[in-house]
Amino acid sequence: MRRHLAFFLCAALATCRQQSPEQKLLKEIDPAASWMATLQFAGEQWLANSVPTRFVRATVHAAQKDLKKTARTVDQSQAAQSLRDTVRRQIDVATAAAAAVDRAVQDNDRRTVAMSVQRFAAAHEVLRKLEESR
Amino acid sequence: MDIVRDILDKQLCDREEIFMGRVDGLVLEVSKDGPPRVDHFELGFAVLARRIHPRVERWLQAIRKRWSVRKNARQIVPWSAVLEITPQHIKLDLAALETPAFDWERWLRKHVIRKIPGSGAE
Amino acid sequence: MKKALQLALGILTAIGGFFDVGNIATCSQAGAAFRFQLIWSLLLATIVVIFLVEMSGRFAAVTQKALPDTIREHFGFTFWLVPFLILTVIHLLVLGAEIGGICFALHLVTGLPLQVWALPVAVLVWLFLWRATFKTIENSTSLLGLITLAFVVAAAMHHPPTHEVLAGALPTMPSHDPENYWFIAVSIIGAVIAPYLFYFYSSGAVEDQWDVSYVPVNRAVAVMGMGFGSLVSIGAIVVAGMVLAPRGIRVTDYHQAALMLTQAFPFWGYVLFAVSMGIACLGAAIEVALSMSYSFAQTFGWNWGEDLEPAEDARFCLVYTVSILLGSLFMLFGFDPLKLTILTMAINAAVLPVVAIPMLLLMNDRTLLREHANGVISNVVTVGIVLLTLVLAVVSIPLMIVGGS
Repeated sequence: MRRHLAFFLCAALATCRQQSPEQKLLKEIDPAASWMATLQFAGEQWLANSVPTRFVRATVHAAQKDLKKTARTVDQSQAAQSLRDTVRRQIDVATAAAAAVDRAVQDNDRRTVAMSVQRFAAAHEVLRKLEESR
Repeated sequence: MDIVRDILDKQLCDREEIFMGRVDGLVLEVSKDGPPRVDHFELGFAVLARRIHPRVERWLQAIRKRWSVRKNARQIVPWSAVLEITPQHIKLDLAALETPAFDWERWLRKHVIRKIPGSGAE
Repeated sequence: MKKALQLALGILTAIGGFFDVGNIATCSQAGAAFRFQLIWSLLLATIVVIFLVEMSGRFAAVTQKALPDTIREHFGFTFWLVPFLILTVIHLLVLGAEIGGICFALHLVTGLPLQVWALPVAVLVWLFLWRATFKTIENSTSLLGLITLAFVVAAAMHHPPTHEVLAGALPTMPSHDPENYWFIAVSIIGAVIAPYLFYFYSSGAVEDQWDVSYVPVNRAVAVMGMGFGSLVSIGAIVVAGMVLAPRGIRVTDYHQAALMLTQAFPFWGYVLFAVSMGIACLGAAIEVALSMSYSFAQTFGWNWGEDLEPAEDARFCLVYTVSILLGSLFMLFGFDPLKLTILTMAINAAVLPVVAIPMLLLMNDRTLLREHANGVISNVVTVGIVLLTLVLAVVSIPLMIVGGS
């Protein structure tokens, strides 16, 4: 057990150093991808009347904080321009959709929420595919 | 009986079995004739502080001069006050509430706890 | 008859005491990131905690003394001082995390930010301790704690693939993110084997005036209570594995965990999660604050007992009052409750030897425990436990740095 852990520790430290900027970026956007999936799920549950409006809003605010941070990370990344652009576009889509959801749940605008859910799903799918291909 | 194993750090209680601190220190009396014998116990934070390091005790005494409600940092309990020694505690022929061991307890009860509703104090 | 009742109550209490903010955080993270693959670490921790809780209860039943009390008496003040200070700091962190859990539950229900709830929650926890007797606390938290069984029901409703769940009972190498995998494994162990548990349990046995005749009751309570308790945690892992993992939701914030039950129970799932979290954390916060008082009172030989009126043990009350106040500061100053929890659980895992080693030594002292001292099997297991805790002490903090999210 101990040896395994020590091995993993060394391996982990080693991989940290050898990572290419692309791999590093894909790892750093993990939380943002998870937030897109969260917003999609939260929106679906709101449409099903399973979660209250205040919860969706609080979740949106927490997600926006993380998306903003990730957007900055992407801008500062050394990864290839095409990858950065793709990632950045998804984050922008999700950020816009999050703002739309924030307003729509207050106005009980179910159509906008349903549309935003689709956009979260699409953005998350793009990021997931990128990660799979790394 | 082994004085460090069986006496030092042991729970002390009064006649009514109210807990009143632990044996923080032991003082032996060495006489010319006969073996050394336990003279008294010492209780108090100052005694504990000295067990860590004499400097810690000096710091504590400096703080105490400004803040403490106790008259003396070290309470002395003569061996003659011991009523019985059980595996759980050492019973003393004292009333805890009247000893310096309860200085802080009395002060807290009077100035803090009694002022909060529901403390059970009459 | 009385013993049967005690047994039932003890088991309920143990179930309630097992599941707290640390379990919610680490189990939902484990399920979301690795589905059922980390169930083994929960099982391992459960076995360890059953042995350690059984020992601390047996010790209290035979000697009528709680652990902090005996450790100072037996090993001396200067030996006890360092563990005592370390555990005091950790208990404050745990208390902060549990208060954070209650604040988050209230945030879910009311929508108000966590900072607003920090002080009201502190007052609520304090009021329980100020007015309630040990029995009331034991009974109310244990009965209310049954609501956490919602996680087990939800797990069953999702019909998880049985063979995959069972396969998770054995350790396997992760397919992705090995650092994160091992870090969560360690933090689950830290969440289950919380040091306060042993102080609380042994001091509680003294408060309930257990004697030697309670040794069998104690054993049953430890095995069944902790066993059932771990069922709730496994339920949480399975639910997270069925609901969050397939959607690609990782738990980096409690809002994500809050969605866990909504699929099994439309509408009520959200409420059930909030209530379960609130009650589990409230029970744990009370227990941690009491453990603080127990360890201070016993270390310095003060009069102690939750059944005494506050005016009879002013210093005992002072300790929990100050602890709760300090514990509430984390939320008041806007710490992230999930980050605080995960950090605390990793530190919990790192300091386990401090708890396990003195216990192993005491449990073998025949002058204290007579024929109830540890047998060969218990000792083999305890040596294994000590070795495990030493490994955890070495790896948990480095793992937190490389694998913590």
